[in-house]
Amino acid sequence: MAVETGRSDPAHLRAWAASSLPFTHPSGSQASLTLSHPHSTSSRPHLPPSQLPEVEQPASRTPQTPRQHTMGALRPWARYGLLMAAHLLALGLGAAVLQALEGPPARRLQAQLRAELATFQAEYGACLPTGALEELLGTALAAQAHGISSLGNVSKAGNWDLPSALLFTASILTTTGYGHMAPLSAGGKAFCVVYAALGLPASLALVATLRHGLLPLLSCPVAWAAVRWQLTPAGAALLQALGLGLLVAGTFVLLPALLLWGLQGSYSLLEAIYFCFGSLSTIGLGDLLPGRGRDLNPVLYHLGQIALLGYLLLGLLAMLLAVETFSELPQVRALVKFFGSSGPLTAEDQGGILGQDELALSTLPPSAAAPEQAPPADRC
Amino acid sequence: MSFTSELTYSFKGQSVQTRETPITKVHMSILLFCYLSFLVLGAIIFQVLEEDFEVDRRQLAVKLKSDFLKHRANKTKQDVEMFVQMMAYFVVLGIPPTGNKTAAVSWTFFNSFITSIIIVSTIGYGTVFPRTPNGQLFCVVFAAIGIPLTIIVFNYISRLVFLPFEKLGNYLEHKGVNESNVTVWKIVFFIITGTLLFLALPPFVFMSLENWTYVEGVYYSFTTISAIGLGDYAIVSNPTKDDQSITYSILLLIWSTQGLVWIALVFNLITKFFYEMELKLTEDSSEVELEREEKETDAENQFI
Repeated sequence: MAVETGRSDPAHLRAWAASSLPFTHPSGSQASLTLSHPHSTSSRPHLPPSQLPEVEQPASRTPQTPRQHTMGALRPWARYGLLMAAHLLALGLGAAVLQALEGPPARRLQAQLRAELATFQAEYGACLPTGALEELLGTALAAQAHGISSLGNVSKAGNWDLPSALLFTASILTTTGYGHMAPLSAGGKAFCVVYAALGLPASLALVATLRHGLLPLLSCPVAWAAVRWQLTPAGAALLQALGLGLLVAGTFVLLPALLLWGLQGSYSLLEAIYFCFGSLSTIGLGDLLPGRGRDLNPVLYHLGQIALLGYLLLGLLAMLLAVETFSELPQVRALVKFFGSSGPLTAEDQGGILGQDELALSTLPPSAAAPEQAPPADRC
Repeated sequence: MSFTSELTYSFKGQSVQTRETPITKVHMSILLFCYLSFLVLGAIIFQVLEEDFEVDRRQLAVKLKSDFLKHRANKTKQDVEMFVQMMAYFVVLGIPPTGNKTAAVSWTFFNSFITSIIIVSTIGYGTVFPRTPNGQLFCVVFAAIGIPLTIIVFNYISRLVFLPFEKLGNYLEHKGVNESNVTVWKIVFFIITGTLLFLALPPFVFMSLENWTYVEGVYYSFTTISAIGLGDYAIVSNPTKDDQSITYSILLLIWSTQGLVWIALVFNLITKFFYEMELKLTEDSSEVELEREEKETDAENQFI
């Protein structure tokens, strides 16, 4: 949904409006971006104040507007903050429930494994029954599959302490699914299914909402650059996508990989990158989890888990934002269209389960998002 | 979240059409062919990179075991413990220390192919994973290209998945049902059928074939098709299963693919619901005021 422009508008502007730039106003009665009315402020592309067409405002209005703007500026951030806090609380609650459900079975399995080990150690002499070794190894294998390791002095208070539970819950919600821990009880499994079935869409909705709020911030530097370097709208969009992509890759893959490489001696740089990439892409093989199997100071170990948790959540958020920005590039859309259906039968098709009127989705190109896409220029 | 969300994203504006133009069919075949070739190529490269290492480790495990059994009379308790630790280490490496097989299992061509699919669909069970540095490097590159490709391909498959319901909708419209009701019916049937096919019924199959309980079956189905892929239950891509039937694996793969697509569509619906709710919550009333201001300014400017 692009801004409506008329034939009288210069071609450049029409091109601008037709692209899915973040700072175009959705079509609506007040949205026509016509240069022939310089006094019109009904659609405000997100340009720095110097670029805005001059607006005449009666002097009596000016004392009022700053106050309302500052009040308005506080509230959105508070609301987003509350929303995020609510999601984190849900994460914590899920972790707590799983911890309660899974703590005892995990300890039981661990105890069972240790008992078998002890029995084996006691009987390893000549009178060892044939196949006893295989049996023990089989038990160890099965336990390992469920996340109970027979490695090392596992004297930690079971696998399901709060940081571990939090990490597990986050790995479920983000569909990463490392698998280093897994629910053993039927109740835990059922809870996981229900929790993920609801939690996944909720998380996606949160990302969408956050993107909604972050969009003005994200497009600020690009708008500045677009004006400074005289970029076309398509060029500006490309710049935004590339910039965001590089930023995310640098901050959430390279930097953590370097940190990991430095802190964890046993990783090579490649392994660190491999781990970071595997986590962010939500493949989550879980073969290399920092701190596993090492007798670390418990405080450090838990700190590491919390750090990993934060990394997962933030990194995924950033990655999704970057990917979405990419997917809205005209080049990418053309590519998808090449493989997709013939043009006209996409968003406009009525019968689809995802009809056009329902496109208030997060994933929508921002130009079609809700009306408050024209934030005041002073937000930049 | 990435895969599911990306599928969710890409389903946003597309509807399923019942008539396919010939060009689209050609496009689709080309795309599928390229995709499968990509996967096959990935499988071959993975096999080349990883098979030797796996065989090497398996041989080592078998040798250590037989050594231990031969000389156990002379071992101390600590030796025993260390031996078991070593075996557990093999387990962590993905080499099951049970049995005496030394031929490659995880990195045969077919299993490499399956592993490629598991990686590229972001399920990532973690039961089989590249252990060599080259394998890990290739994994990163392979996934970086493969995941977007997979999303495009699965977009296509989504049409096939939704096609019967589209036809149902047309049928209902013929019968004179109101259009918005038709949409509701389509969605309801879609959800019910999918739940049966992907969550409620397959556990019965797993109960007999894999000896799981019903809950375990549901749990496995859900974690697979939502691309969480914890890996504590794995049918394909399971290093302990030496002689998995290939037909069974292929059927499972097809089933998983359809399930991945189905659940992405369902999540799309639920996300939409949550999103609208959250948007209302964070809606800035001051911005609504701002719009009112703008309208007033315009009204005033008209008189200028």
